[in-house]
Amino acid sequence: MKNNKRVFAIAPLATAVAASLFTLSASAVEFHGYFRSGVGVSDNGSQQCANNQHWGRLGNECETYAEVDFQQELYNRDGKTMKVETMWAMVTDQNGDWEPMGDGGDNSAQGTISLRQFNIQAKGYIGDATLWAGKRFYQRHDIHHIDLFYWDTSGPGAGIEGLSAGVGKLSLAWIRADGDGDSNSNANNIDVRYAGIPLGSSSLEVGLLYRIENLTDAEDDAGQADDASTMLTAELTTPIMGGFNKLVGQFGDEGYAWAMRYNGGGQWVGSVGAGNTGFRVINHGVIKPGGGAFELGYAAYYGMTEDGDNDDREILSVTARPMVKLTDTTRAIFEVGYFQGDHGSFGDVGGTKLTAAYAWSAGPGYWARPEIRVFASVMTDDENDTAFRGEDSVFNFGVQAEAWW
Amino acid sequence: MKSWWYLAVSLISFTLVGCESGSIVPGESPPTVLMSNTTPIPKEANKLLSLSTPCCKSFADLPYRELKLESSFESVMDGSYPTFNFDSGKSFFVALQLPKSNRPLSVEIQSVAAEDRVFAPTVVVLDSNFQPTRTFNSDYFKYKTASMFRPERLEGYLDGVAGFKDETYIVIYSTSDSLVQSTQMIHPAKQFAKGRNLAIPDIPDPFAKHSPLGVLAVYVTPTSIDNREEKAPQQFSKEKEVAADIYINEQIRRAVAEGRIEEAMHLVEDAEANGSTTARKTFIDAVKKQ
Repeated sequence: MKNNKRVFAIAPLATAVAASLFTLSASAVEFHGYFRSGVGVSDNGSQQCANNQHWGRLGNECETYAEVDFQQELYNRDGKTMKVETMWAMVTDQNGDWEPMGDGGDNSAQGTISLRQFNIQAKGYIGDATLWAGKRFYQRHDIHHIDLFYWDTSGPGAGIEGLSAGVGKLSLAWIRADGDGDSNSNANNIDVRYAGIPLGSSSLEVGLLYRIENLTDAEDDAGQADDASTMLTAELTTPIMGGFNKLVGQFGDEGYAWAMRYNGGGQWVGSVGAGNTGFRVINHGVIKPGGGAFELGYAAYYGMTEDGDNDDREILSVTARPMVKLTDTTRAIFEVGYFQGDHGSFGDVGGTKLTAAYAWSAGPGYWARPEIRVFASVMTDDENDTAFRGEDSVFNFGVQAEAWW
Repeated sequence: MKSWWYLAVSLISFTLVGCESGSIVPGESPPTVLMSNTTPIPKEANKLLSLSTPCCKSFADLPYRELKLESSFESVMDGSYPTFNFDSGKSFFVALQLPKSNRPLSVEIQSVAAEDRVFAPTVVVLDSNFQPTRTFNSDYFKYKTASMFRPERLEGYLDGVAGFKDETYIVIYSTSDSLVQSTQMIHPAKQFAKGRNLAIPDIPDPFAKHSPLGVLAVYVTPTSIDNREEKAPQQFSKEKEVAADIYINEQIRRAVAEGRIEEAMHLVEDAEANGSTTARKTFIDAVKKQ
């Protein structure tokens, strides 16, 4: 309370928020969050957005999305702490002022609200590990500039995280993953990760995700498929050029075979029972070559699903987001993306995107936010001549704000 | 294909905007969020320091700038700043005169960090005769990560300075010892990961070299009665505190004797904000005598 009181006496808003990251006063509420929102048009009606996990998200987000997160340490005694974390996420179409959310199913809503986190994280109870239970964003691995979460098993669950074992840290979790309220059966992910294996200057993390379908007796008797799905991930993180490179290899079978081609990572599964397999190789990073005014986010991935019943599916994507600092608070951002692949019997997919933006931000770095950016973007679909309201390409122009805190 | 023409036109427009806001007009007030990589790299700054001629012989000669209550003071230190031979070595400095206030002051000092450099402040507080009353060493200023409204920085609050104590000036400088050290930061990719609930990448954190030059922000607020117990760890001389107590009690008695009761009551509050335990009794006794 002591610390908290002083914080508010000195600078009511700014200091309170400033105190949030990494500094923990026993009873202060930490306010975290994220949002993106803005306005845009295309050369053919409203702004058109597509394929951002394939050719990049800059100037390619038509919705307002926000996360509001509150955390508070509720208990701190004798080296034992308990922290509660809550988060709501909201998304709307971003087409006007009054956008109702959560209509209870009458379809009047233009937005939805989602309860994404409500958990307790306890430290000091089991060695150096964190004991946790509740709904949680769980060790999510993403590629920021293409909004691709390639290893993400978030959901309601419980686990022990970061337990020192040998050279690295072990994390075990049980997370429900069926997302189905109508059925009496469910599906449960068992998530095992071992992180921090040193390999030269690099660090290796390996993980096993095993999903068990838990059918009712009736479903079982009816012969419903209940094959388990497996996803294996190995990720090598290397510090390079003031940033990092991550090389990721993934294998999935049954339901997780589909994740390899269709941008999954543990959040969902495709159909099980056909004996499908798939794999994905990802290389991505954010670096500062030359250590100066130029920073680069980049990603390349290839994913493939071997479909036992139909054709194989493939996806190849190459993207880069170079950023040139103009002043400490302004920069030019470019994003280039290319992808090609196939969508089984639906045919081939592919295209290119080229985006330029001018941005004002609270700092010079790649990760500095808040940021307001003016963008212009051209997206061209190589395979579908009518992808964008009857045309194969579209020009988008707009202004977007993005912040995290 | 008209899409490509639109893109070309946009690019040209962005270039024009970029040129305009990219230029920095000298003498303009600095932006609210300051970055210390507007200052020279540590190697150059060290060279500037070694080549510089000290401006002054004693603390009394330093060029003091006036601080105002609850008003941001920002200083982008460059090679044109004066230097002084402190006991701890030659250093660039910022010399400031504290605002007048009956209430003790809380002086917030931020030294803005870039990824590779930061000015590590040491602060000496001086009385009206330019004699040091106490010193806040550089390890008093702690590293804070960037947040919505603030950049990465070293930050510290000098609590409970001045008021009825004879503390009039502060001088912000760095010591030769701290100049050879560095501050471990938290990699911005890790800050982003924490802020967005992502797996934190297993990469080393950058170190900011301590530089003789930097970017400082100072903000002074009066202490309210509610947080008067929040004293800075550096204790002010007990002897001087007693002297201040005697002085203010005399002021209270005189105000009551002259019928300025409301002013006397304010003085009691101010005295209590300064930690006095005798002012209230002095006031009551004085009123009873009337």
